[in-house]
Amino acid sequence: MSSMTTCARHRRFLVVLAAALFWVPAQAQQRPKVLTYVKPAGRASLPIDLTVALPPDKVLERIRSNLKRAGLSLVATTTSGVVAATYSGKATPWIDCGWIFSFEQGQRASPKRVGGAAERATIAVRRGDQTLQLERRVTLDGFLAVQVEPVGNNNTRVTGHATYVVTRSLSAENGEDEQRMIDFRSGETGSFEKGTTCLPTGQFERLVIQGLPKAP
Amino acid sequence: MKRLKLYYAAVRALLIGALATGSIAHAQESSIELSAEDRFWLEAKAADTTEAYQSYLEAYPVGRFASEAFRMLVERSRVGNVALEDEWPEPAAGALAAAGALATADLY
Repeated sequence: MSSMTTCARHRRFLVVLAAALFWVPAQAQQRPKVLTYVKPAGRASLPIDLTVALPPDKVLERIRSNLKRAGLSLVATTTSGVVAATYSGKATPWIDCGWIFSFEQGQRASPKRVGGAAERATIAVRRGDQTLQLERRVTLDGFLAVQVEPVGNNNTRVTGHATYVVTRSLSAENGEDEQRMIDFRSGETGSFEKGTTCLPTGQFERLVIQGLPKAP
Repeated sequence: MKRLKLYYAAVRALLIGALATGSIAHAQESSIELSAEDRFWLEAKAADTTEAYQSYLEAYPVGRFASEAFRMLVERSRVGNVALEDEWPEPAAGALAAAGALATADLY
């Protein structure tokens, strides 16, 4: 009697196990992942620290000219030996936020690739059994602060960093929207709560030192 | 005589304690002396306005709180945009089923 009960129990267990094994892949097939994210491959660019073979006043003049030419707005500061500027607009090429791969046409079709820092993109996301089209926007506000100080014989040390404030806005077809903000500095990375990681490419920092002769 | 000695020890201990507390408090007061920049920043934070943060950035562009001041400035400008977006029309009844999509979707 007891061996009969054990046998029945074993059989029931095997049936449940087999059902579970079949059920899991079936569920996985029914709901393939629509989005995949790949983080930026590079490293965050470092803060500015360079010794230039020019006197401080000439260096300041060149930095101001570089920043103006690139379309940045200079901040009116009374602090001597300092240049500060702001930027507001597209996030590329100033930051890298990796790539979003969207498998809207199924897992076998080639995915749609969207830059994580793209100014505007429409991507499909899933909520339960529904697939929704979302408009994703990314903007960048940057603040660049540079300090110059005389070093040795007619040389100047240039130090500084940029502050990056990235705003990601998402709007659904139903009018729902969400806005998130992250900030990081030269040499750092920043991540949104649900994924995207951004880092500075070094373009802002390069703008500052463009055309400045490095001291030997 | 024994009691007198005990009283004396207690009073002495109290006096030493009071003196020690006083010197610590004095040391703490002197150690939290604020710099001009710190005071400027605290005032900007207290005012919490675009103008206050802008003034801090102009005065201390390479200051300790410059990054935070800039973030505050950007937040304030974006808050203005959100307020405008709040005036968008209500979603249509058919679209209500999709409500909460942003909260639960796998976003990047």
